[in-house]
Amino acid sequence: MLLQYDRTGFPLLCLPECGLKTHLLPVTKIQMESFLSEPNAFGDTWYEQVLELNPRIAAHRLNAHNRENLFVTGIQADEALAFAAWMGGGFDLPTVQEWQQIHQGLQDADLYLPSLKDQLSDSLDEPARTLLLKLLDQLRPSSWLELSLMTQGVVEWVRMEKTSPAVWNGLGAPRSEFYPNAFNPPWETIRPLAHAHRIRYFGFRLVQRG
Amino acid sequence: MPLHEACTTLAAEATGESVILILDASESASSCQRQIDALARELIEKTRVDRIYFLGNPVAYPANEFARQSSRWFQENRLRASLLIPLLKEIRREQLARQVVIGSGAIYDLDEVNEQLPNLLLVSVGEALTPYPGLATELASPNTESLLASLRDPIVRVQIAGPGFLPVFWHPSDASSYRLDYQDGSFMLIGENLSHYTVRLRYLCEAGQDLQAKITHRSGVENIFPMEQEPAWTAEESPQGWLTPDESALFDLAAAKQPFTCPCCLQTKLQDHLRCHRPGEGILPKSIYNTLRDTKGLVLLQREESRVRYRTFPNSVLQVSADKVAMMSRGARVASLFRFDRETGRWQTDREMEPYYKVGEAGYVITV
Repeated sequence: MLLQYDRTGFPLLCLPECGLKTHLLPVTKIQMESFLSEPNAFGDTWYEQVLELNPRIAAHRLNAHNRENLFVTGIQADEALAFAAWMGGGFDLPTVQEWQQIHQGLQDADLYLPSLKDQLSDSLDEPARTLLLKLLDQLRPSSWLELSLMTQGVVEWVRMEKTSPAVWNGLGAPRSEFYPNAFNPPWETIRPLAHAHRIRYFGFRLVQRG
Repeated sequence: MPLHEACTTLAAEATGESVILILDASESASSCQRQIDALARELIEKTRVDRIYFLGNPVAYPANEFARQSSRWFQENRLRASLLIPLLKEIRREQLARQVVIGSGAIYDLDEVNEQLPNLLLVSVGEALTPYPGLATELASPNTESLLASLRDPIVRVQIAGPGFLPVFWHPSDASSYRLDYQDGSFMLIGENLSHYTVRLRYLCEAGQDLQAKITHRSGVENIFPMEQEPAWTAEESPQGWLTPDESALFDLAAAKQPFTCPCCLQTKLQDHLRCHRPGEGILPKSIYNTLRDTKGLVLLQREESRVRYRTFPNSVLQVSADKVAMMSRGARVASLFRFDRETGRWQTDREMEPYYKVGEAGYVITV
């Protein structure tokens, strides 16, 4: 699997069969903070609201019970789109179909953990390196799908097909400790009850088209 | 582990008062801007502040412009979040300076960076800067005097060491600067009670390993800093030149262990005759090579076609093979050879260096 890196230094997986690249993981707080450190409409007040729902942990404090704290959740779809626009050309939230294609593609791809660790050790800067390597040690994934946390991660914002204006739902199945309802990913989307509210278990990953 | 060569720089003032000021202009501190501004002005006036940063922003602002520009700078940075990672690389450059953050409200990534900033001091003028207690030293609404008191803790000792460490060049290197110590198979560079501790060095160490600088303050507080390698630099660290034709001929004879006539005493000598009394030049013997008469320590002589080039080594340390160095200690008359044992990771005394120690194809090291 070919890896590239976004402007925050986090890995993107190249999936030519889907015609896109995708973040390996849901977007982390460290990535979001690169965005927040630039002058924009998202400052301390906004971040406090997000952190209140899902507090931040430092990468070196990651353990088996708190990994969801690494990721940005409680974010709304339009806010995730602002982050995507800052990330650069072609970045967007995935559609339902794209998300499901990625899920399928990662299920079928072989993962050789030692070489991935070597590659990440060489390519990543801190703090992304500590975060990724600790996560690998904790998850000990046997497939790219397990590593991607498309399941056992957070619910991720996806755009419903052919909707205008866009309708945003979620896909993914958090661990029961994080959100204790069972879903049936990747096929059943989760509809937020009120888009105006922040939802603790809703995060996102980006795709890059083209 | 094999040895490799690397370069690094430690930048430090002895006073312990060199301060990097990091101000909080974020939303969470907007209601405290007046207090932050006032405290920053006092620190600029009463300590050594060269650069000012704002949380979230890696750009350095000149401290001497603060009085005139502070309002504009606060305005420029007010939409940034309270984060240190974006400026971490910049503020770590001057490793021994105190990094003083003045602000209000949590620094979100503090737990990610505080171990890399042992000199960090947080000064809150409103809400606490630590997201949870115990992450870093924090003073809550201090007056200027108590803040200054906590900053005045001069450095009294710096010790640089690491796996397989041996500096081959360091600057400054005069008698009032760092000294090289050898203990139990390890070398360390030690500076004590210096007026400044800034040092540039090129060194050998085990591949893949970094050096550490242990800084001791007068209060007894000790901090350990990792020293990052920097791109290799080629300072004019080895003054060099050419011997005269007569000296070159003398060198050929001595290196070949042939007798020669000493140009100073005009007697026949062998290669262990490296110094001699020069008529009218005092009682101390000097190098028999007139070109090197004011040089001390190790000199590498290399025949290059019809001429002999010399290179001198200001720190009297020269790597003579992959795992071996020649070194002349302060006050010694003869250089010693040290060999690095890859098994134990220690430097071992090998033996005294012979008068003309062969290095490579055409080089010889002598002591003058």
